Amino acid sequence: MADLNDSELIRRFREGSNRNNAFNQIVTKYQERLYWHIRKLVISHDDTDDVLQNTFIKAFEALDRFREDASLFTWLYRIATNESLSFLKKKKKWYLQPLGENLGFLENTLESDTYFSGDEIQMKLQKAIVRLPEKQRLVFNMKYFDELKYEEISEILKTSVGALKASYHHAIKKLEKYLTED
Amino acid sequence: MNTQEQIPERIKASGRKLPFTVPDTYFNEFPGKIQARLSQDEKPVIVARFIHSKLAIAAMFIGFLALGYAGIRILLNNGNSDFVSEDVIIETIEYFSYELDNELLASAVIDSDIPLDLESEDSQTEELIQYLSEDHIDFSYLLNDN
Repeated sequence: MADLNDSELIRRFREGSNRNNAFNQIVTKYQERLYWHIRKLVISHDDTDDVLQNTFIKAFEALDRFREDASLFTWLYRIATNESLSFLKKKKKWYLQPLGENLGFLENTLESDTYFSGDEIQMKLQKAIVRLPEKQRLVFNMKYFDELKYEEISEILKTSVGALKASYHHAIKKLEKYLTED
Repeated sequence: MNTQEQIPERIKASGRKLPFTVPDTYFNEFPGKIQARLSQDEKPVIVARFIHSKLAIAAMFIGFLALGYAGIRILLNNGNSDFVSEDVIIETIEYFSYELDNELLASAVIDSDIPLDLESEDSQTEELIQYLSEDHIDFSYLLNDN
């Protein structure tokens, strides 16, 4: 079957006759990009799988109400971000870690992750990244690894470009410091 | 503040490639997982809808008596129709359920001969809810009349 554009997929989904098939194509199209976005935030593959599933289930439930004022990908990315952050919040409570603290449990997750394929330098960088405050980590990942433009990040996170630039700047400085210290 | 891509050497050294992998067939199998979850989630919804529908019909009678048929019709501002759809009433009852008096159920069921169209869908639901939810409506006077 030829690849359909997002508007066509949404139209078919809303028509109702082939709802699941249309949604299946949306999942197939965006699963990888969303997976990697979530994986960078929650680190473990199994947790990423859970969050990704929840992301698509939420999207399925809400797609009828999606107003298409943003692109489908931006909208999905936003759901994935919110799902990841709320997953981390729950996990923080589980670990009795105060809100705003660096996510110490993520360093442990990194060390025990069987699907980590990097070398020592990459492990060091990843450990430094998970020590960043949540917002800075999010912005750094989106800018550095996903290579998104500030305008795109702004739309996803509903944050001004200026604030994003500041977050990215602080993230770089902190990472540099962490990497020098360790 | 320099916001351009001046990435320190220590960060550059590890590159932009993520050092994570996924199980080999993960992305081939994932869409099937979602489909399975969607069909799994459908079943309880059907049951819940059935139960909900029965409860809602019961609540509908309570609500109708509590609010008074005349009151509902005034609020609906729908003098030409002989029927008020189930959907309109269910949503109204749900919206104001905290104000309903459960003791009215028995008499409501026994006494009510209100003509209801349980099959049709009514497009007025949203307008009704919006109208009823406006602050200037004092809903309690209808309840106290019963």
